[in-house]
Amino acid sequence: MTLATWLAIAVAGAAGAVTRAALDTFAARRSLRARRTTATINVGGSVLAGLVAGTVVACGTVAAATVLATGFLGAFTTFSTAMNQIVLAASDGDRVGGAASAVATLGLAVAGAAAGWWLAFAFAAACR
Amino acid sequence: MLGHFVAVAVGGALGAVLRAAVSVAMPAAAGGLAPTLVVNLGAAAALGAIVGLARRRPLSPRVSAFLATGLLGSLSTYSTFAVEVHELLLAGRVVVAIGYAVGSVVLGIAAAWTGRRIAIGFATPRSPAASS
Repeated sequence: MTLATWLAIAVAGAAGAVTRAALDTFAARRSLRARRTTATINVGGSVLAGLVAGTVVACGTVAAATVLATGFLGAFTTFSTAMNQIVLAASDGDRVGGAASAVATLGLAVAGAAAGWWLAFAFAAACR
Repeated sequence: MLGHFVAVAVGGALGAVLRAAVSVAMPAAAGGLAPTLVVNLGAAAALGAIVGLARRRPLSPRVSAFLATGLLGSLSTYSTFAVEVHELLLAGRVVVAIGYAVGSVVLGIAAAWTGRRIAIGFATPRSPAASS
């Protein structure tokens, strides 16, 4: 990767993390559960990442794909927070809720990535 | 509030660059799945440790924004993980896909729990009865 790509990943990573923090703040002010906010971010980011990955396969190499997928969406979504929120739920006595959240997030994120991928192929004609 | 987001941005930039560096350093290991697994489990354990330490002595909001929300939040990724599982399914490697998906989450929870337990153990002074 070129220096410009590394710098772009840094900037996109900052933007992704700030977008996640802004959504966290927004949701917390409306007393939404933090675990649900993280799940929404992770599923939404997975749909977009599937869309980017599908576009690369459908349209050939796209210059911004690495910066978008690795930089922005990689930083926007988070595995560490999701796992720790499950542990916190369990330590608060809500093991069932934590486990349900882990399973639902995994299923919806993979299904979302698949949906994004197929959406890219549906619109692949646009890039030719 | 601005300082909070600046701390998140700096941590987020570092986390993303570190994650990209890990994937460049070990691109072919374990069928290409190793980099994501390494950053995700490492970040889950480190965040567990921070959460555990914070029980004893609360972190300043700025440090927490930089380390937890920024650096570790950005170092770990759910979207790349989900796309990798989907690509394994597309390739017909269903058993590997399910093993990678379920294994990541189970190990991720275990990593977060272990980091937290170790930090709580370090942060809690031994009672006289326990040390005698």
